[in-house]
Amino acid sequence: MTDSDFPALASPFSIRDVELRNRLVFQPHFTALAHIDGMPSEDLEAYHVERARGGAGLIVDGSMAVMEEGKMSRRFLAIYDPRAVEPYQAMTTRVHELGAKIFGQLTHGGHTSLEHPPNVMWAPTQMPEPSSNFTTKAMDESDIRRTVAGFRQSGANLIAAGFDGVEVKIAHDGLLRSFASPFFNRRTDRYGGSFENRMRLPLECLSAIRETIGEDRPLGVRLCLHEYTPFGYDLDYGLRMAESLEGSGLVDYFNCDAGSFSSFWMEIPPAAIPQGHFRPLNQALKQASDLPVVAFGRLKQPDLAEHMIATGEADLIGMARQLIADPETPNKLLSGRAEEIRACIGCNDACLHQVVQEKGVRCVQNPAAGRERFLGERLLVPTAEPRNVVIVGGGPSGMKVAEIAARRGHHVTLLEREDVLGGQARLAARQPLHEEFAEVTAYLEGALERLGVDVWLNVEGDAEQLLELDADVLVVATGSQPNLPAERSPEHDPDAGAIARERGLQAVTPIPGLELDHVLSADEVLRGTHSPSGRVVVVDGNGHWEAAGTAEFLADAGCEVEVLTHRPMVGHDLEATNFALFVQRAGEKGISFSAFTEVRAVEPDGVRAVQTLTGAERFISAEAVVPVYPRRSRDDIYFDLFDKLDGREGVRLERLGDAAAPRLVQSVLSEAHVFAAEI
Amino acid sequence: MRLCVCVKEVPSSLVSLRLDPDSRRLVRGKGRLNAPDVHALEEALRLRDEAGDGEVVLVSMAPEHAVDALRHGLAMGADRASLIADPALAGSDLVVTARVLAAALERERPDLILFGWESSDSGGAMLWAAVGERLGLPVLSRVWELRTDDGTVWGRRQMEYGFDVVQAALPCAVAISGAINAPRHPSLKGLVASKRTEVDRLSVADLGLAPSDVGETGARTRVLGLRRPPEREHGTMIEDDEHAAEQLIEHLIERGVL
Repeated sequence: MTDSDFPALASPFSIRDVELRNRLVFQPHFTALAHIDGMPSEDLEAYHVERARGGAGLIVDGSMAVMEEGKMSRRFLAIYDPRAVEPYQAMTTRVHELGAKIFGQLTHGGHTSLEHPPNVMWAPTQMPEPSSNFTTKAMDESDIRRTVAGFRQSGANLIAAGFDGVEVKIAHDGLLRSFASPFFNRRTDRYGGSFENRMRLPLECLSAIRETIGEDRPLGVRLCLHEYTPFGYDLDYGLRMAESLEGSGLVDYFNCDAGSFSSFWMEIPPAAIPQGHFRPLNQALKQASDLPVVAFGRLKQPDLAEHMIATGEADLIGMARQLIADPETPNKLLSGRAEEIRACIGCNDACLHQVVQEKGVRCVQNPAAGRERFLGERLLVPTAEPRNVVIVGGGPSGMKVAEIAARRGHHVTLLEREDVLGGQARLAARQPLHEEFAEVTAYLEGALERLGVDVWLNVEGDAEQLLELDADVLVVATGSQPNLPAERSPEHDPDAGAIARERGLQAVTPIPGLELDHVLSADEVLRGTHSPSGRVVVVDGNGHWEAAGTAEFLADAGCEVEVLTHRPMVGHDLEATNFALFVQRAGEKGISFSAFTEVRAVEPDGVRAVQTLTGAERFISAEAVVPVYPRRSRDDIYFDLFDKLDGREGVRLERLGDAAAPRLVQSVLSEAHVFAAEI
Repeated sequence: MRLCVCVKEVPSSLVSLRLDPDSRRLVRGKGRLNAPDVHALEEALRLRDEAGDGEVVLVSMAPEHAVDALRHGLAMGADRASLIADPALAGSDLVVTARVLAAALERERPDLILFGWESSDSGGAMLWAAVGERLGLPVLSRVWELRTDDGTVWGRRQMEYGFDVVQAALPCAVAISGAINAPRHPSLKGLVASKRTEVDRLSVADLGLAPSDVGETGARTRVLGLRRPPEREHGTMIEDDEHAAEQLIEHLIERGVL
């Protein structure tokens, strides 16, 4: 593999006088890494510098508010404030030193907010965004003048801060789209009523920016081409907006976008939306416009990206989440190391789910995301004293420890009792529309191979044998198991955890009947060792995919599925875009939900449940029951080793991942990274 | 009976093979035992265990990092391992590899030499023949059933239209078909034991060979250049405006496909 594998992506491209070294664009997005007053932080600087170092051609820093009232969150960047210029200068200087260019994206939050409760939200016409409970303020001419001035001042600040260009957001959230939208804009003054009037405010803002930044600086628009709502506009209208913007002569490029707050799963689509789903939108705009087009929407496959550039579907490839997951994507792609790319899994659990809570951006696949200053991969220090690291368990935790320890030069041996690596991640990937979850282990498997980690599959042994391996560091990452009774029939998965239970360190779900033969664990269902049919009751006791995705898996297999949960909703803790699409699919698949429902006992032909609000009991017949309660650790080997070592010096014993405490993979991978970075 | 199994460390299937444009050689990092060789090892272990005595020896020519791959073979149950790791060997071709392995095998004087059918990286499927020729031994290839009995070896060989039943006197070289067995997995006990087993290191000099016999100087083949296959042109895209099928048929007729 050589450079020429992706010649189109590797080729330079110019927007006005700004030459980009390649076709890869880090798309603007909310990072919540700014200080609470909206000033750029060192974390934000490190975040973008990492992507510049990773080879991105263009970085577009997003979520920059043009006025105080335009902030959708306290952590939106206050670019309207001249105090932001100086800290930004440091960032743009470093980005430039690393060969990338950087634009700033200006927006006014308008009728959309991430605050709970929101501050006053500005709009063309007073009404709630249909997804919100709060009514907006209809802007008067004075508000409009201040808004235009805010765009002008913010554009000037961007240039003073060293940004190479300006992008204006007329996209899935914010004020300017609402002005352009026939649904949101019902005004009868010169800012509404006709298409031309609805486009007036966006064009006035662009014009104000152009006046202040001059003719040479690129000015682009992130344009929502399709709102994907029953009441909103579609592609034809989106293209009409593009025609108007292009015809103004103010715009140098388009960055494609879709969705709205009322269809937020299309703004930042999770893995359930196919990769490349929005290509027809990109193509339509590219065909309709003479301006350069940045393509968007779950683009992560190098071959697809190359194809899109080579065949003229787009001029630039926008990636946000892929470059969060692996900042080195461009460098790897363009230097013959595409196979080393750590792919985004489209989970939205750590990026989107975090920032909408005003927490700094994170990534399941990349523990360093948003924490580049502390965990960036270039900070991994080669060890001065290579140690013999033995890891028991080849799930995500054990594999991540192995990867990072091996990268630092330790001698790593990884032992796995099954004949494949991956642990629970492999099972999770079997849930419907979760195939991309397998990228978690696919990346790690490839990394372990490249690093020469000594992997032993199908090995299981006792503590004495493990101690004979003369490990300096012994990591127990043996994972977890569904929290069902140990006394199940031998045809079910064997139990581990007896030592902990004997010592009072582990409790089992105290529901009678969980030991019965027709009680199946989610693991058994997903692994395919047990395939129930007929009526199945799934108990969602943890609120995440383990129950929700297993219910879907069973429905796809032809079962009639009812999901019980003690909480107000099944899948209560799922990230919002995932949740929205899950409940849509559940409806289509005929999965029924019973909320506020707790299981009292499992009986041979069903479950006895209680409605927690009323206390009413009911019997639900079922041929199989799949209870999903918070899991418990498989930690026997840890306690065995702990006892045998008895404080022996020279051996560090550590319990990591689910073996320490069962939880989501994001936490597990982060813990493993931090641990292995320090040994 | 002494059974020698020639094994190769190959890059994992998860890692794309790369050629270094300067040295024109395959870039090799740490790898795994070549899967067909593991079938050969399993067969050797079975013959030893059925006989109740004997010794299985792994022989490999590879960089030093192959020692971990050899430990996997030891953990499966091999008794010893010899690794011929010498910087002078870099750039060796099939001819040199056969020369080196033959020299190492002459020291062992095995009754039976087993090979995997081919390596997963270069796929030459010739080494066993070259080694057998150098040692002047009979060679049975593509064997998918194997027995030894009183100084002879008997094998069923898979052919295009059926099976050959072949027999040869020991010592003999045998190339094993991948379909012959399901290799055992190493145990943790085996892993522990493998860590305790010293892998013998042999240099070119130990084998009585001169530096000029090996590496690029000893090689009888040269890689003159590397070239990528020509790029395939982008296909013709037919947009479906409700006449796509007719356009496709026209397209195929024009090109004489239909």
